[in-house]
Amino acid sequence: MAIVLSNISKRFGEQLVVNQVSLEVEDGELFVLLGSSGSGKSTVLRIIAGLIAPESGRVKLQGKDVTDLPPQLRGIGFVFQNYAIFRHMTVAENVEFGLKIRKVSRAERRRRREFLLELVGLGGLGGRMPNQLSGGQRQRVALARALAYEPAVLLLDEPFGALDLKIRCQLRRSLKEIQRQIGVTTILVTHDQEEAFELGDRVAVLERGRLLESGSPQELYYKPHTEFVAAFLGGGNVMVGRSDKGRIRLGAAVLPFPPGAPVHEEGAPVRILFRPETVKHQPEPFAASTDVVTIGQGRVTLKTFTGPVEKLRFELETLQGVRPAAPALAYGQRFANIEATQESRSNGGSNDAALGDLRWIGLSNFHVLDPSALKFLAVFDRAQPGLSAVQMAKLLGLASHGTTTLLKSLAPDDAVEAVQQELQLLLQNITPHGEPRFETRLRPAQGGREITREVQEGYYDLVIIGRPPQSDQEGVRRVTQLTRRLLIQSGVPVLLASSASSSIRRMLICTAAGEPGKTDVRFGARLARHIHAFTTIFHAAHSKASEEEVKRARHHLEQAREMLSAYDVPNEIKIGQEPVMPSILNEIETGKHDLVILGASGSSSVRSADDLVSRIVTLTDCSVLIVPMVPDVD
Amino acid sequence: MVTRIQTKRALPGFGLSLGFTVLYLSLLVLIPLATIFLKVSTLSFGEFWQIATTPRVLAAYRLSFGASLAAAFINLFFGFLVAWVLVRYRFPCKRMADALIDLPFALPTAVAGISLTTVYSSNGWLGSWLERVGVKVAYTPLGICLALVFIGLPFVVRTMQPVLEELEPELEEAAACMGAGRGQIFFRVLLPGLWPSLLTGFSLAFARGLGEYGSIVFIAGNLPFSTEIVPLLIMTKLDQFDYKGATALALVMLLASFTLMLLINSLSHLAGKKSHRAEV
Repeated sequence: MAIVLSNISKRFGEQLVVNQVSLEVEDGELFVLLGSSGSGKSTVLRIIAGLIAPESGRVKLQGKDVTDLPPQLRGIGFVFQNYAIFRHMTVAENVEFGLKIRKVSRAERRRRREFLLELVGLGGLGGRMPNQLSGGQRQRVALARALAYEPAVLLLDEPFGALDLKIRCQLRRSLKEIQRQIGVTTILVTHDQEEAFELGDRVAVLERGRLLESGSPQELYYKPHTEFVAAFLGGGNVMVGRSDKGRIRLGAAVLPFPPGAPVHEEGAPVRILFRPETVKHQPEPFAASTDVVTIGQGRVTLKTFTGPVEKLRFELETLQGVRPAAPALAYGQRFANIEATQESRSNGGSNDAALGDLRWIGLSNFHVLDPSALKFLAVFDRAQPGLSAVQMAKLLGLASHGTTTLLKSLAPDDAVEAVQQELQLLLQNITPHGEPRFETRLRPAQGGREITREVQEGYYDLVIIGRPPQSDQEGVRRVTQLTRRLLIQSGVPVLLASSASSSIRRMLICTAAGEPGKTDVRFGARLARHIHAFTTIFHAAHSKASEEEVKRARHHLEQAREMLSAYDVPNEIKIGQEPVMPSILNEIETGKHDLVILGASGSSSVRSADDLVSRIVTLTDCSVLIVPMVPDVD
Repeated sequence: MVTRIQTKRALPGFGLSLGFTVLYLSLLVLIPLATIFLKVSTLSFGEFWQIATTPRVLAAYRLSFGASLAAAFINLFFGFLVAWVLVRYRFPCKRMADALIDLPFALPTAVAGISLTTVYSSNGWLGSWLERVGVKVAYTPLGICLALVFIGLPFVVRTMQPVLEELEPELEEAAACMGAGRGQIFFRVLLPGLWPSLLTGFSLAFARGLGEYGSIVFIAGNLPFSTEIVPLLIMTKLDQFDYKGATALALVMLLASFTLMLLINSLSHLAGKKSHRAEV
């Protein structure tokens, strides 16, 4: 094994950028790390090179543990996105640099340099200065330079990122050829899926510092395990149906579980993936004898010509109540979309779909993703009234088929066994039959820092903290502080569970200040869908708001409503008057809401939401859910 | 009216801008300097040579050039270090430190001279300590050098900063991956690209040192043959209404510094050329 990483973690400040990454790369393999920006892929590469030291975990190259060695002694070639060519040296001098450092004889250097320049397609250009070369040529020099001293491992960090498309494609092909020819073990980092597929023998997908999946491009594309990978790699339709008597119910359609699909409990959400090219569509219903599974009738709402194929988008009314994970439901849209394709023809065949056509849609092939419903963390800590958190976790966990982790932190004087026993008892209390979806976890120390770390490392969808009664001012202050920390440092929604709400029948989504949020409505809809809560969307209007602003807010609320309806959530809209605070409090009072949802975006408005939260918590006894907002793409 | 539009530039045409350049250079540099030549031309060469080569004047030349060179070298080293730290690291009060660098530009030189003298004289804060270990600063060439280091530092720092900012950290990382140690990275990868700007900073600091007067008169003590610099000598001659003598010295300084600057600039140009070798 040429490269072995085991449990590599790295933090920058409080931010966890690489989370327990382990991977193995075979000799001579071209391995691609694929991820969006900020996924930690470059950090992993730099850790392998020794340019960054990992916080924990080991790096092995060619069977030798190099974790504590400086980059100079690791014998690696590294190619940077910005080339990092030495500008005062000629091309030849650049290529020979590593050999000179190794005191290789002049004749050998010359031989090696000429071989490599020929290999990368720059034969005869050794005398040029870097500023006489184009970007693509410079990157070729960088590649030759990194290969000159025959490194055991070649690492490339977005090597084609700064080049234009055409050059990029040329260089990709050259790289693949050179890598084959030399047989050097290579890891390439990129955010470009096409590049990853074209180059990689194997591809690993990284997201938020975690290695989600790795495999051949075909495996990852057609048979991924996770929703993220399914949606990240190319156009894909991911729909969430339900397991129903051994089959999959998708709105009005019923699909069989394909052979080899992961086991799902009865009633659990089932996420199925189908790629646009496996979607069949025709004007008349599919015959029962074909192996195409009909999912309904849809209208063509978009048709784009891309050359060899035309991309189509269908809107399906029959899929009401199905949560489409990808393509994401556009805000305010009621019906699920399905991406499909058809061959493009110069003058359109008689059976081709045109814009506005109503067609039958079926699947010739689909794939069931691993069951992974919402993941909850209930913080059960001496400082927090934990029981209400556990109750809430039980409520949400059972309704959504999610997994729930009970977290307890050890106080200095706690005996570990006693605490474990306490947790086991608690667990038996909530799940007498020992459901596997509940687990317990101990943290070695008390305090917000430990909880934040657990949230960062465990990838939870929701953190549940028990809230103190409104009279306990010290407790309220502590809880809001912890909430703020969690929101800023982990970006995970936080639910302050009240002991007063033993069930959630009525939910209130507040879209108070400025542009009403979308993330909070989406998250609220997702929860409400599971617990069948009646949802009120509330907007406190500005008293001095212009006609235009009122109209915009109205429009937004209508869209939110459409979305909730699409998720089959019973709902209503209410508009209150300024000032915001009293009107929200009044609504909580009169509406008898069990759960209030607020959105917070960016650290400054986390602070203002914090203020709002602490006031709501001090003035009422209901549960509060704060959703950190991500900038919306659609 | 007909306007001809050629390629549009931000500033109006070559003719106009060159005209301004020449006018400015003439009004501010060439004409005042020409008067020196005019004045000196009233002397015979023998007279000129005699004035310009008395032992006292020769000692002053040595001091002026020697101290300026020494100070410029010291600034080359420390200025580079300061610029490096300012570019590469983040630390508290960095902006403050950055602003402090420019202070020698703004401070009246006399103020700098007086405060340096106060601190480094034999009963000053630092001077008294240095005196105990046998180092005298104020009223010695060392003091002059110190004042020139103070005055010249910003020239090096400000020329190096933008160049260092352009130096990507990846260059060092690439070299490290290829096996180069710290010394090799610095001398083989970083330094060669920095020579032109180092030389520019050096020549600016040196030139400033040659002309400096205000801060030195206080800390130098101005003893003929030992701590008397050429600008001071010129002032002394003017005070004695010896205009011809003063201009003779001025001319020598003018020619000597011009030659030296020309030399350094062409060196810097050469170093720059090397990194753009064979550029057409």
